[in-house]
Amino acid sequence: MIEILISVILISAIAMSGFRRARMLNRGFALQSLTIALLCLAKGYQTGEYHYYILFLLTLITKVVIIPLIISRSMVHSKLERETDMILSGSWSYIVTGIAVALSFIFLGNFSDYLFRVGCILIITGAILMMGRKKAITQMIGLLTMENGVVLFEISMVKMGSIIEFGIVFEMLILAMIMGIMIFNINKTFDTLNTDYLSNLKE
Amino acid sequence: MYMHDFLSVFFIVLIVITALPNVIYSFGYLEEYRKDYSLKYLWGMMALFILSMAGVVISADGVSFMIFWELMSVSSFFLVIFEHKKGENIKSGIMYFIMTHISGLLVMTMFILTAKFTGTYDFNVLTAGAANITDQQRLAILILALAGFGSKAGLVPLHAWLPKAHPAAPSNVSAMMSGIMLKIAIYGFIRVAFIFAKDVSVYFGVAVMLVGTITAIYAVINSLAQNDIKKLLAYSSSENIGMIFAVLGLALILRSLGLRSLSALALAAAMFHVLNHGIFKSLLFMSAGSVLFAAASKNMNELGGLYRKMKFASTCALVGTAAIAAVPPLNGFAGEILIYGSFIQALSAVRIPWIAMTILFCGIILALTGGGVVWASVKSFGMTYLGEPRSRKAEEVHEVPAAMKAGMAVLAGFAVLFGVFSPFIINLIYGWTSGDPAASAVGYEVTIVSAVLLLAVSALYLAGKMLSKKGVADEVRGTWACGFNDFKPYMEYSPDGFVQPGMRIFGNAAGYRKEVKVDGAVHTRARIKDVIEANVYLRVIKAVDYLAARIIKIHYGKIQIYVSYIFVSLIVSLILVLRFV
Amino acid sequence: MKYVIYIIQSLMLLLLTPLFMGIIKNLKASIRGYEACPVLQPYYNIAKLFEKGRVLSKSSSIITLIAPTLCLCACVTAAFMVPVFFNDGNPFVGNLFIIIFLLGIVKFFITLTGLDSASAFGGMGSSRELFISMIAEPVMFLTVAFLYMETKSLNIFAINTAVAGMAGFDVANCIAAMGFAVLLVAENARMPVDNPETHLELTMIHEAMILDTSGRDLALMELSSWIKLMVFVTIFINCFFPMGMTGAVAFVPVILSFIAYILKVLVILAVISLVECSMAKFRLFRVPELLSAAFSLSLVAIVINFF
Repeated sequence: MIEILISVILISAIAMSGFRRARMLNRGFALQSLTIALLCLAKGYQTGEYHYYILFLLTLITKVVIIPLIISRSMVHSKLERETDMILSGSWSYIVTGIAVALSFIFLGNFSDYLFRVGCILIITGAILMMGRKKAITQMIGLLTMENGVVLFEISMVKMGSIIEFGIVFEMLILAMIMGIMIFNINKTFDTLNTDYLSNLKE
Repeated sequence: MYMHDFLSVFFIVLIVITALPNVIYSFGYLEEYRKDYSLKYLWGMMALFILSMAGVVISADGVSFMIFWELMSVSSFFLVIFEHKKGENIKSGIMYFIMTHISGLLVMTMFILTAKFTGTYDFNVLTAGAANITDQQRLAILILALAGFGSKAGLVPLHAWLPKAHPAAPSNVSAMMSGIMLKIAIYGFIRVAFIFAKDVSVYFGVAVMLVGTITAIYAVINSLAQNDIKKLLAYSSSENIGMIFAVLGLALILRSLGLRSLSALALAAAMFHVLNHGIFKSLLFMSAGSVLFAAASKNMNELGGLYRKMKFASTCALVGTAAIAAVPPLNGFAGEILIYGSFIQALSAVRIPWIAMTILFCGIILALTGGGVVWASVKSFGMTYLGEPRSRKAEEVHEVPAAMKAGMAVLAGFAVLFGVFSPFIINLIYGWTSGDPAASAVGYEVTIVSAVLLLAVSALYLAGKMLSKKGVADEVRGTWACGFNDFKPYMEYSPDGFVQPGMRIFGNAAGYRKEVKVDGAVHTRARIKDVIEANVYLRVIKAVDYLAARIIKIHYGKIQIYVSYIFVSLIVSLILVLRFV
Repeated sequence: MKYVIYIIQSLMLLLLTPLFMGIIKNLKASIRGYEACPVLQPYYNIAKLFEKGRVLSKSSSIITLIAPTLCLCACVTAAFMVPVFFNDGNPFVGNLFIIIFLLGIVKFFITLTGLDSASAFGGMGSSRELFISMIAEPVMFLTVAFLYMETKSLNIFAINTAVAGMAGFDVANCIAAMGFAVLLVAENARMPVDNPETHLELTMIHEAMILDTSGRDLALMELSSWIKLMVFVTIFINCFFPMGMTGAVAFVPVILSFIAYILKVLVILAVISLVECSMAKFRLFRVPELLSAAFSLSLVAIVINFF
C-alpha cells in the first residue's frame, strides 16, 4: 500500500513539471498533498506512533484544503489561465526533470530508503518548476512542492519530532497567505503576473 | 607477408560479397556514360579501387598499409570526378580529396608514432607485442587513430565530404564507397584499438561512444531533411557508421572494465552490423542508380509512381529499405537487436555510476535514431516509387537493363539470407572475438521466427485463395479525393511535407529555415544546410585564408630571395636535427 | 502436453480479440449514456468485410496487395510468442526485442500503404505516425532496459516468472508501468494520441493510412491493429502485474489463471474506455510532451532502483 502511494506521489510530481494551466497545477498539488497525508496515515497505522496521525490531520487541513483554496482565490482576481511563454517549454521541462533526477542520483550515492529518494526527487522537481517558469503562481507551487519533499524527508526519519512538523506546517501556511497577498498586489501594480516585469523595479 | 587472421578474412569476404554484384550491376549501368566519357578508364579505376581496398585489409605492416591506403584514396578521387563535365562534381571531388588526405596524414602520423615508440611497423610483431609504451603515448596513438579513421569513415565533425562525394560519383562507385570504403576505415580502427592496444583507458572508450552517438543523431536528422535520394543515403551511411562506432566504444569500455564476454558480444555486434550495412547500403545506392538511369532525376520532388514502370527494381529497393528499417527477418533487424541487447546488458553489468549513466543516454539516443532511420527510409522509398508521378521525368521512364536487375537481386537475396541465418554468422564472429570458437552468443530464435512467419504467410495466402468468392472481383478506380476528382500531382504529400513535424522539432540540427513570402500568391520555401559545414568548416577556411593572405607578403617575385629562403631553412633544420634528435 | 497449452493460449488470445474490442465499445457507450451495438459486433463486421469485394486505387502498387497479409501474419506470429495465461519457461521463443520488432513490421507496411494511394490523407497519416513512433522509441528502450535490469533476462517468459516471484509491488515497477501505459496508448493509436472512432482529418493517424483499403484488405488491417493492441496489453499485464499466472499443467490452475487474465484485461479495457471518454485528443505537437513525460517516468524508474 505504501509503495502505491509513493509511486502516485512520484508520478504526480513528474507530471506536474510540464503542466501549463494553473488550475491543473493546483489540483496536482492538492492530489500530491492528499497522497502524502494518506502516507502519514498508513505509516502511523504501521508503526503505531501518534506523531503520524497528527501530521496526517495537519497536512490534510492545510495543504489539501486551505492552501489550494488560497491559490484558487488569488487566481480568480488575476484572471490567470495558462502560461504560454516559458523558459523551459513543454517537452523540455519533462526531459530536464528526468535528466536532473538521474544526475543527482549519481552524485548523491545510494540511500536505502525509498522515501528519502522520493523526497530528493520532489525537491529537484520543485526547483526546476521554480527556475523554468515565469509566472509567480507556478513558482509558488514549485516552492510548495519542495516543502512536500522536505516533509517526505521527515517521514523517512526514524525518530519523529512533533515540533519540526508543526513549525514547517505553520511556516507554509503563513507563506501561502503572504504569497496570495503578494500576487494580488503584483497584479494590481503591473497588470500581469509575469515576473519578467519585476525587473522594471530596478530603476 | 599478409595478414590472415579472422578480421582480415572477414573484411575480404565483405569486399567480395559487395563488389561482385556491383560489378555485375555496372555492366548495365555504365551504358549511360558510353557516349560522353571513356568506359575503359572507369573500369580500370574501379579495378584499382577494389584491389587497393583488398590490399589495405591484408597488408601486414604499416608501410604497405599506407601505400594501399593512398592508392585507395587517389583512385576513389578519380572515380568521384568521373563525370567531370558538371562543375559541381569537380568541387565535391576536390573537397573529398582534401578530406581524404587529411585522414591519410593522421593515419600516417599514427603509424610513425607507433614505430617510434615500439620500434617496428610489422603488424604481427605489434599484435604479439610486449609493447612497453606509456599511457600517454598509447592515448596519443589512439586519438590519432580515431581522428584519422573516423574522418575517413564519416564521423562528425569530419563528415562533410560524405554528402558531397557520394552524390557526385556514379552510382555504382557510390555503392562501393559507401558499402566498402567506409568499412575499411573501421577495419583500421578495430585493428589499432582492439588488437594492437592491449590496455585502453576507459575515458577513450567513453569518448568513442559519445562521438559515435552524436554522429548518429546529427546524421539521421540531416538525412530526414534531404530531398536528393543520394544525399539522403549518404547521411544515412554516416548515421550507421556513428552507430557502429558507438558500439565499438561500448566494447572498449567493457574491455577496460574487465567484462570480457560482454565486450566480445559488443564487438561481434559491431562487426555484424558492418557486414549488414555493406550489403543493404550497396543495394540502396544501386537502386538509386537505377532510378537515375530510368528517370534521369534523383530529386524526390520530381519522382513518384516509379513502381508501375520498374517492378523488379522497385521490389529489390523495397527489400533494401526494409533491411535498413530493421524489419524482421532481414539482416538489419538481426544486427539491430544485437546492438540494443549489448547496450542493455552492459547497463546492468557496469558498476561505476557515471559510466552506466553515459551508456544509458547513448542507448536512448541510439533508439531515437533507430526511429528516425525508419522515417527516412520510408520517405526515400515511398516518395520515389509509390504514388503518382510528380513530373514528366517520372512519367517517361526507360527500361532498366537486366544486368542491373541481376546485381540488385543478388544483394537482396543476401539481405534475406543473412537475416534468416543470422545466428550462425553471429556465433561464428563471436567465436573469434571471444577467443573461444565454440562459444555461442545468441540462440536460434530469429531463424525459428522467420520460419514461423513464412509458414503464416503461406497459410494465409492459401486460405485467401480458397476462401475468396468467385463472383466478387476487384475494381480499380481513381483514388478518392473527397469529391474533387481532378487529381494533380502536387496534391499528394511532398517529400518536404512528409518530414515537416520532425523538422519543426529537430530542425535546428539540419539548419531548417522556412520562409514565407506573400505577394498576391503565397510562396513558401524551406532551406536546409549542413550546420557543421557552414559554421565550423567555413570558419576554418576563413582562418586559413587570412593566414595565407598574411604569409603571401613574403613572396617578392625575385629568384634570389627564394634561394636564400631555401638556404636559411636548410641551415635551421640541420641545427635542429643535430641538437635535438 | 504443455506445447499444446501454449498453442491453445495464443489461439484464445486471437479468437477473443474482437470480443474485447466489442467490450470497449460497450463500456464507452454505457459511460456516454447510449445503447451500444451487441458485444459480438466486431465478428459480424469482419465477416461482412470478407464478403465484400475490393476497390483498388489505380495509383497503388504491390504494397497494397501484400501489406494486409504481412501485417496480419506479423501480429499472429507475435501473438504466439507471448505468455497469456500459462507460462512454463518456453525455451524456443520470447525475446522481447523480437516481439517489438515484429510489431514494427506492421508500422512499416502500414505507413507505406498510406503513401501508396497518392492521397494527401494517407501521406499525412504516415508522416504523423512515423513522427510519433520516432519519439516513442526511447520510451520502449527504457522499458526493456528496466525489465532486463530487474530480472536479468530479455525473454518475456523468464521476465514473467521473475516478476511473479518478487514480493509485492515496487515503486519503480509502478512508475515503469505508468510509462509503458503511455507508450501503449501512443503505439496503438488510442486516445489521447489518436481517435480510433472517426475518419476526420483532425483526428486521423491510423485511420488515415488505411483509408483506401476495402473489402478483405480492410478486414485484415483492422484485425491486425486489434491484435497488436491486445498483444501490447498482454505484455503489459504479464510484465508488470503477473499475479495468478500458473505453470502447472493441470486443469484447475489453468482455468483459474485464465479467469485472472480475463479480469485483468477487463480492468485495463475499462481504464482505456474511461480515458477515451473523458479526454479530448491532443493536438499533434503536444504528443511529444506526453511521450517525454513517459520518458522521464521510465528514466526515474530505472534510476530509483539501480543507482
